[in-house]
Amino acid sequence: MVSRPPNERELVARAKRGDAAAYEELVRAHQVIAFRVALVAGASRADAEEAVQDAFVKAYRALGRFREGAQFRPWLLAIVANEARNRRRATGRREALVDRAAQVLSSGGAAPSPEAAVLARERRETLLAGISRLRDDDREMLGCRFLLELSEEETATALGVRRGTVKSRTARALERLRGELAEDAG
Amino acid sequence: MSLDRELRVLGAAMEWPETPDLAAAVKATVGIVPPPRSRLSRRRPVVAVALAVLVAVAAALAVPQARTAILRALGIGSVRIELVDELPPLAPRSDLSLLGAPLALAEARERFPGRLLVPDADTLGMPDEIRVLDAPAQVSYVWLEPTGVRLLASVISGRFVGSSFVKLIGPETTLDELTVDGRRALWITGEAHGFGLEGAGGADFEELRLAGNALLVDDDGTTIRVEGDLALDQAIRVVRALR
Repeated sequence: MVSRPPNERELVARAKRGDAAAYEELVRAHQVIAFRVALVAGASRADAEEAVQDAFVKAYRALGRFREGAQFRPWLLAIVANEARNRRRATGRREALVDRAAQVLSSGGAAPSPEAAVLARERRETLLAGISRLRDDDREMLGCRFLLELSEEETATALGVRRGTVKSRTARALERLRGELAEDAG
Repeated sequence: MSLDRELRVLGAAMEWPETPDLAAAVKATVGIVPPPRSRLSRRRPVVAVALAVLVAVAAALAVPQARTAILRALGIGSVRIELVDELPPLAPRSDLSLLGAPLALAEARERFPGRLLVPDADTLGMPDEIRVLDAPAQVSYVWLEPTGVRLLASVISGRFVGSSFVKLIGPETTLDELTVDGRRALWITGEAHGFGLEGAGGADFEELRLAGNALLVDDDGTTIRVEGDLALDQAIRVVRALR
């Protein structure tokens, strides 16, 4: 008989009881999205790594206050985003998404992915440059909603705002990005 | 292609930096101690401590009576006051992220539900920063000094949105109930106390920070919070200068 892998709720319950192995599984399940949220929040790669590690430790220590039945991922991402912001502010370092993306876009000479092929390279760079010039809260909102494709609900929890605010702020951030792109074009 | 669609395509096309495997390092750190007890299991000691400090608090509040009267007093407007036996490790924070994003006054007014109280510049000077949170709705006026925050005055909407502020008070902190121009108020002094945001997931995100003396005033549903190295009369002057 093959045993069923534990679901997230079970892992959280076990971690709450002090099962470090269960928490290790939670870390593995969420570390990729957590790392990217930290990058979207403007942390440099090195700061993002530290921020995510610290966030996981803080989340563990706060598990006793985690409400049963709540979604673990957005709760965790809120801690991650906060840690990343703190590091960005403390160090004064903010790595522009465009710089990082320029590296990855120019890496290798491999054929572009189907997604990349849809959007011309120049347009991608323009978009990233525009996003990087946005103020922090706009960049985080667009990054979470579109680059990372978090749901409105997840974005609301991760960024600590109401769901309705996600809608209105997303619309405003898109408008400001259009302005940035128009300036580029002009 | 619409801009949001372009961004989604961009996100899918981005080759993000490789994520470091943090699981082992995190496990090594957290494996040493179990997480703190759950909220439910903490309630009992909190109540016990509330009872333990009953005499001191009752004297301060001048509300001599039963535990329920005291417990009812431990909250004002949108801020929940939690008496605890021991504060979690706290450190003064130089960043102000808990207060939200810095914005101009016009935008703060736009975002705040209801009429926003604004500091009288003649009395208090212009704040160095205005920071805004949406959930719960709070506008904070921040006056800075080289070493950090000199004065913080926040206006918190009474509209409940699923998350709230919590103030943790240890046994060495004094809580006085008073009225300020007819408005119910709490004056918190003494040892350091923590202030944090309790989120939708039920956690405080460990964003607790040390607060100086604090005056909380219930202004017809809106909570005014003034914190800093202030005497009571100075804090009251700040509250009166929010118009």
